[in-house]
Amino acid sequence: MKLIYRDIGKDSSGQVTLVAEDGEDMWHTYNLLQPGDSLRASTLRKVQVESNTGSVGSNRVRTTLTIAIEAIDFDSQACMLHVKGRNIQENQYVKMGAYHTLDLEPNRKFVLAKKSWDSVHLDRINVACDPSQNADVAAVVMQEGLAHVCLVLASMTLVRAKIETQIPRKRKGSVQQHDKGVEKFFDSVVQAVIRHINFEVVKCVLLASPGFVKDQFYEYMFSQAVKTDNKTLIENKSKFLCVHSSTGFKHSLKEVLVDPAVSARLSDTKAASEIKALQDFYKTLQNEPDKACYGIKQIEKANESDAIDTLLITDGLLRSQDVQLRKKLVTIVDSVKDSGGVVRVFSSMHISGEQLGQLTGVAAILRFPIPDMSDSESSDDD
Amino acid sequence: MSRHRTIRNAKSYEYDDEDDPFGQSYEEQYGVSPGTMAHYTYSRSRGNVQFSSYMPSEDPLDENVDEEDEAYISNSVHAHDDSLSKYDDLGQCIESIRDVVGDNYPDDIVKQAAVKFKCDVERSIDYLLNSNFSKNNSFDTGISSPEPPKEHLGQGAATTFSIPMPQRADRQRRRNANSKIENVKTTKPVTIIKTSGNIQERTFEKVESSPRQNVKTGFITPQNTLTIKSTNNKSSPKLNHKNTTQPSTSRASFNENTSKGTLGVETSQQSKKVLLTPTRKKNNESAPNTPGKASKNTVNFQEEYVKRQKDNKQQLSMVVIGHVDAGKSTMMGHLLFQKGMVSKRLIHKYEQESKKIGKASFAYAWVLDETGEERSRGVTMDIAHNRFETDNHIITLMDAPGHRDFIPNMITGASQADVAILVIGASTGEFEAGFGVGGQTREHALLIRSLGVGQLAVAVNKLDTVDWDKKRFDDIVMKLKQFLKQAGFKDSDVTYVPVSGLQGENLVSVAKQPSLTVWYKGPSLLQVVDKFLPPQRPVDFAFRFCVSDVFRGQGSGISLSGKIESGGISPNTKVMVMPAGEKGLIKSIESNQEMEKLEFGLAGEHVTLVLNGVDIMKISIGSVVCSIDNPIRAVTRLQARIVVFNTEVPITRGFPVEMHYKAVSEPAIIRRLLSQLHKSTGEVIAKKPKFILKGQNALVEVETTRGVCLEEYSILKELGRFTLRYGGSTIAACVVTKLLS
Repeated sequence: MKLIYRDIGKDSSGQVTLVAEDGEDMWHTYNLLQPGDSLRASTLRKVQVESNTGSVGSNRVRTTLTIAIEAIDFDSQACMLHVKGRNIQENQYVKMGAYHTLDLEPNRKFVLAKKSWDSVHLDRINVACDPSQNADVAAVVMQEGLAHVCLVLASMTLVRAKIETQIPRKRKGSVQQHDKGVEKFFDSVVQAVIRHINFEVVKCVLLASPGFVKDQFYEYMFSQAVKTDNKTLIENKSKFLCVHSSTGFKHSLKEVLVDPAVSARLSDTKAASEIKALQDFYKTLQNEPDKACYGIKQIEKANESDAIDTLLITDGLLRSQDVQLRKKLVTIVDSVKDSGGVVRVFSSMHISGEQLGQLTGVAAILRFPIPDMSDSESSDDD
Repeated sequence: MSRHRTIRNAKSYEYDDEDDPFGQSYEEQYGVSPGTMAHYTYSRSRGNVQFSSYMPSEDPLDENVDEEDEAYISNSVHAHDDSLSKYDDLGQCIESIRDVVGDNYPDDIVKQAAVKFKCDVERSIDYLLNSNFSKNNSFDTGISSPEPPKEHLGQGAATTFSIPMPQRADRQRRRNANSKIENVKTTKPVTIIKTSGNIQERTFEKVESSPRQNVKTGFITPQNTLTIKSTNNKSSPKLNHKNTTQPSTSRASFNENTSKGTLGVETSQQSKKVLLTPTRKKNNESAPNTPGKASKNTVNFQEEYVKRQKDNKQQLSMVVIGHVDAGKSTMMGHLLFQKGMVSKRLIHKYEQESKKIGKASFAYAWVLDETGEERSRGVTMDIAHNRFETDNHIITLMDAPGHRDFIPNMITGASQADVAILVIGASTGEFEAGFGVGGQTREHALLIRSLGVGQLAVAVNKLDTVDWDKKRFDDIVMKLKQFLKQAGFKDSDVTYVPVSGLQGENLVSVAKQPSLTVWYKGPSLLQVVDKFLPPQRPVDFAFRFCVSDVFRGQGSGISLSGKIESGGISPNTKVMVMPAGEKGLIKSIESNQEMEKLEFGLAGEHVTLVLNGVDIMKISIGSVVCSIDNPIRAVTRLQARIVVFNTEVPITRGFPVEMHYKAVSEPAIIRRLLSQLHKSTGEVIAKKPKFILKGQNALVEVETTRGVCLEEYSILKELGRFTLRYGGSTIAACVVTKLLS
């Protein structure tokens, strides 16, 4: 992401001009937008023209529109951001108040104006514009009959392909069916790897599985690559790394990313640090239950006594459409920072973020034990 | 176009000899050289090739039978007649007979005649012409099957070894086709040929009344008359015994036919026999359920179950568990070998091959580890099913992998098991490693207990490596006893047996090793297994069948193997497959090992269902086949009572876990912690706890992404259990208390 212009006043209202460069930037933008903000970007619009003779034709025009945001939609597969709203600046094509959906395009600048920019937003812009954060890792988490081909970006994990094949079990006297099934399965995984992993960008490909599936697959893939003379695979052989995981489900990626062999090879990715933070939380919960808490009410309580050492919060919660709630959360975040605590904003696109999202979305490790918290119930039961 | 034209103009018989499109698979039409074809494919036209020779990994059991009957044949050959050297003349003889009599007589009869008169052409022709085989008759038998006489003779010869299963008989028939000649000689040829004459007459009579049935009886009666004969002549107790052990003869329906026929005295005797042997009676009852007959007539499964309990050996599923490399596969492979389920030749072959890759000690394990990966790595990866019999039980043996990564597969086996053998490696340091923190001994034992296995045999293996040291054995037993008690096994249900899997000591027969018999006087492993009590099966509950494997079998339809958890099923019944909600028709039921067709399946049995009308893509491992009137519910949310094992992380809400039930693992999330319960009383200690620590009991709500088919524990406990795993270790055992929508 590129920050081109920034004008935020003392009353924290103002506007920024940004250029989103890739899918991940779209995700950051998605986290910045809120209903009520105004967004100005270049877009295509179908315009009806009435000619002198009265015949009606329609053509698509490129124009720059400014809308007041009403709804935001993020397509996680294509990494596209669709923003719906009403036009607030009339031009020759579009009337005031007409609805339009802006599809934010990569590498085109847009202007976002807010009535109040808060610290979380500003942090987000800083993080998004930090180029050193880019570490692209691909991972294939598999077990016999199930594989996930994922891309692990700094702030999101994208499942590019999920392969599920029925492999007949070994039965007495008919091992061939099993072997054939395995081969078929490996074949489709190889196809997915070739199709979805861009080796120009990806620095490392993790093959993870329980047992020997990964080694079997590794061998199979390169024997196939030699057979089919697939140069990209052969040239990038050094990028593959076999790691152990307990299952082929997506959440096993957690084990993979904190594996010492992986972290030695990769610089500290956001995903891995998030997982570690969550592990720390669970460890504290196990050893000193009074020093860990989760749920908004409890966190609020703990914050009142300045007890929070590390705050874990998902961006899903921070994207909340509920203005009051968001304000409350931002105050907590600010006060934790002020009192010297650490705030970790988890991406809900990561597995750890997903888990935290299930765990009310906010959790904290405390500086000192606060007993008697368990009687006040975790608030939002659904 | 010209190419096509040549094909169109070509005469059909030009393709006849080898490229017969029937009887060959589709793929074989492509580019197979005649030489390869001749070498590898079965062609009916080449009579002297056994079909079975094309099946490399033939059932070891059958091989045994094969050997047995070969032995028998050769013995009897010596006893009866030594003039078998005239084989070569036989062909010539038959040809010269053919010259005279033409094609009026079926091959078999000509051959028989030739054999009977020891290739004396003149006498054979005389015999043929004088006997009452008319053209019609021979034609008739020709239709029904060219084989009855053969079968007849083969069976007659093999009264003592014949196992009257239709499938088996079929296979044997093929095999016997080759050794037919010997067979003829071994038994009293005159009686036999007379009987076959009888058959011809009888079938002829029936042609007039109902031609369709005739084809059937024409085929069947010889078998029947034969059985009568053999039972009458010898009243062989062994045959009867075998009959009782293999309740699934479809002969029953034939019996009916016989009684309808006009066989006079013999038939009445036969029906007496029927009354005497309970299995036959049962078969008679269930006969209406054989395919093709009225399928509405349902079997009363409960009655059948009670009967089966009284009459037969009982079905028992047994899983073999233990730490990796404790010697589970080797021990069970050796046990199967000693039981005679694996031929010597095969073991010898394995010994040679395993030596080649430097794993000579794995020869016995290869009986169960069949895939290339398993053999080259020397590690069992997936459950291997096997079947053997003891004095009291028919045991379905499941050899579970011990490696930590394959525990999901082990759970698959354990969840189908009634009893278990826990194998402990007793060699120095090995027990400690297996029993320690990272070892599988504890986890496996806890798992099977939580999956409902109560009876356990602990095989302390590899005692030969410590010179059958009693101290070592006692030491291990003491440590285990304490732990197993904690895990919830009753002391009386656990038996400790010192064995050596590699040397085969104390497996089937009682120990002979002097250094062991000095201090051990107890039973052998098999004797312990034989004493296990099978649990009561929920036969009265609606039909539930858990799929543990989906594959394409021979013929149409798809094959689902697994275990019948409750109720019973007979072929030609409509069933529903959940969670897909697909409806299908059961074409046949086969037993997993023998591939014999069954007339019905009952709870507790491992069978393969052949299902018609179901999309294979919609059925996966873990689907449940259930009765159509009372299908199982597929839910994504359920309430369960969980017992947390020794976990390092506390369980909170939103905790991602893998849920293992039966043969499936599904990712799941702990949705809510409802309450923490008291360990023994089950009282609520705290409502909505923040987290659950190790050793605690709790009531939680679990959510899965896909529908799972479970039942409430109070309704059907076989389907009410599951386990939760996280990060490669088992964290909790659970029972379903409530299914939510």
